Amino acid sequence: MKWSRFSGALPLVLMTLLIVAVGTFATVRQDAFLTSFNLNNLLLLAMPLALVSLGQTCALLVGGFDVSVAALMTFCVVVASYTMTYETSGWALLPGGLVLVAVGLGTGIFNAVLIRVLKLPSIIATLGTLSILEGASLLLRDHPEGPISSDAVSGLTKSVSFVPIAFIAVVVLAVAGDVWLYRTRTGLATRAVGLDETSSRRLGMATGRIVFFAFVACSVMASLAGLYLAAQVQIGSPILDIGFSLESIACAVLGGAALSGGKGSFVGTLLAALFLSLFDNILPLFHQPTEYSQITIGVLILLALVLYSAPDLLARFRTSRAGVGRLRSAEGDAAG
Amino acid sequence: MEGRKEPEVSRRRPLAAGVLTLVLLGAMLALVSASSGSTAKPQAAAQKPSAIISTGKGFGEVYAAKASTLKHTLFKAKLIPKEKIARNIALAGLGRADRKVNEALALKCWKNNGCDTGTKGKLTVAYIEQFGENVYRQMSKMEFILQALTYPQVGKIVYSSAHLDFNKAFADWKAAIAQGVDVIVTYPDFADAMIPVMKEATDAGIPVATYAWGYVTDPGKNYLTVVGEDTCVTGKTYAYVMNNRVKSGKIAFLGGFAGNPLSEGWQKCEGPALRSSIDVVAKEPTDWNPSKVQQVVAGILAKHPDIKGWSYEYGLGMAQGAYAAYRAAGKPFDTVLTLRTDDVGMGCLFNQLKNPKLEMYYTSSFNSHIRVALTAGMMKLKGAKIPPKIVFPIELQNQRVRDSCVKGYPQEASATSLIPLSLLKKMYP
Repeated sequence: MKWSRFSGALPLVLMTLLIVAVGTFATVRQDAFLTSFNLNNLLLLAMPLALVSLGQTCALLVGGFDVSVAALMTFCVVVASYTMTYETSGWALLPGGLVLVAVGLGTGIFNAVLIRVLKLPSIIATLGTLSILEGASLLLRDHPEGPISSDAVSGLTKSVSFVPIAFIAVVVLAVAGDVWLYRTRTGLATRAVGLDETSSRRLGMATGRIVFFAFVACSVMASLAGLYLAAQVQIGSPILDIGFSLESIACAVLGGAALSGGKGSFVGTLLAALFLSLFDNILPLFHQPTEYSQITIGVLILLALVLYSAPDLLARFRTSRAGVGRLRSAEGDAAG
Repeated sequence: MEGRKEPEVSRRRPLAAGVLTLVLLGAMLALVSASSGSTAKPQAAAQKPSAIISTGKGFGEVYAAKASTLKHTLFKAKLIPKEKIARNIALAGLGRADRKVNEALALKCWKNNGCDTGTKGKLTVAYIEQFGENVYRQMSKMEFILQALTYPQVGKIVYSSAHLDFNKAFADWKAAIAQGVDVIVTYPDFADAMIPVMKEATDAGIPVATYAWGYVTDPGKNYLTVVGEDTCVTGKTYAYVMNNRVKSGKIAFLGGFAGNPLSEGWQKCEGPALRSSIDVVAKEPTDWNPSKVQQVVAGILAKHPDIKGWSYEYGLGMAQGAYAAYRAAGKPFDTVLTLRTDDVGMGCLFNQLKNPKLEMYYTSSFNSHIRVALTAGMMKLKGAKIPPKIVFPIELQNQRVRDSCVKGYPQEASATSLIPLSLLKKMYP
């Protein structure tokens, strides 16, 4: 009983321990790791993954997936090359940035309609969106062109010491997300819908609206991630064949989200995104092939799924054993 | 070149022409410079003593290469850059291919994706790939390693492939910059999207060179130099073949990853140079993956069964993927192919099919360009002024005249590579 009370904190503890362990190892073994240059790069590289993973957590909380997020990010990079052109600077960049958010909003509404109104499984619906967005990106730019405003790039990557200001904002966002999820009625309702939609509906919760908003939030976060990706790429490239869709699901799961919905933590997701980025950062420093990164992510997801569900499994095992014990003693009494 | 078929006319060459050739050969021999001091090991295809083309020396390099080596990798010794400094770098880079290196170490380095060279040299050179998972790139990796091993000052060789994951590609570059590698060579699959990291490395004082015409905007400013053939000329040459051999009808363009600079380069120049009677019915990326080639070709064949020609880069992809699609469709492989690699497998398939309606024109695979790219970087470290473009002229070969199915070579390989045959056989047993 006591164990299950702490099971929610398990992903956070595990991710923190992994980050500290891997970070310490890298610090001891590789001089280039703890430099301000490298740490800044690490956090900047983590930004798109962190943002898209926070969005993916919303989808997972209501028991869905969004596999279109990577294509949406690429599409946003392409759109940014039109709306935030090299000549644009200062406040003139704001409408361009808002267009990206609008793209995310539109995609989110499109996905949500497919899932809630047409009742398509989320994975199928977002797979369709992925294909549409990939095609649209190539239609707008068949090769990388259209430099993105250097003002936007320097603004988005502005740092205090080695910490990008935007990263601090993401940390605040993740903490606020968890406060909302675990300390407010709407957060509770979101988790309830993910756990059991039918019961939630019977209890009078607006299940349709909650799922709708979850997918819209997922896409909007992906568009913000796209904005940061644009700051990295700095050109309208349609060929960013990137693994953000799967990696964002991996981060959400490693951060404590249940694939069946109803569980998750935004802070956990952020820590997981940081851990995966850390892994991507140190492998080349140690001249290790990226295959290890992919294997590690796979193994960690499996381990996390087993480990995080262990308290529930244990509780279920205890309940069933207690039930059998009671049955046996009842049978003994009857025989006596 | 072993296995090369001489054109019919050359067998009937009159005596006078033979005498003239001997005179010219004598004149070339007179220009032969003294040995460069290396313990040269002849290439498999060059058994005879060879003339050396030399233009001097400087910045730690001897601008000299055996004519046979140049002919082996470029088809003709004269197909080297026309511009003076570019020519010097090309000769220095390709000339190093004849230096003796530790093949066992090269193989180990190739298998382990990098190594310490054992020379205790202070320099680290890196070959950073965004995608490295096909035979072409693996052969380029070996050429890079072999070239790096000719420099005793190189103590460490680093290789990375991001498996086409953009985020990982960026992480690889940032790590290389953080560690302060001394030279970076790359093929920019993500094209101009790689500019931020290429420029960051350049600004950090690391010479960055691309090969196989891995052109991204502003060579010389965003990065040191681009080595390769002028892909626009390649496109126009492809068009010349199509105009003369297909004359009218449908053809298709296949490319690598969508938007990559190599495919973009020739495609944008072939299209306008085609006759109006030739219709380009498709322009599809294939990721240089034979199974995707099969998929794409099957789709195009289904819609356009009367297609007459294909322009593409990857010969082996054509042999494995396109031929399979033709077979599956129950169609004879009657077509005109223009290709940018001389993979042995495609040449051998051509010979095996004995199909008079199959025509194949190809250029060298130019894996050896990566050697020139590395040498350009090394020369930059010594203070040389490197031109932003090192452009090699090209010449398309007709498979019926020059056979690319070279005996003894692995099917996957390109016979114009400067990797010793003994090593190639160990790479692809």
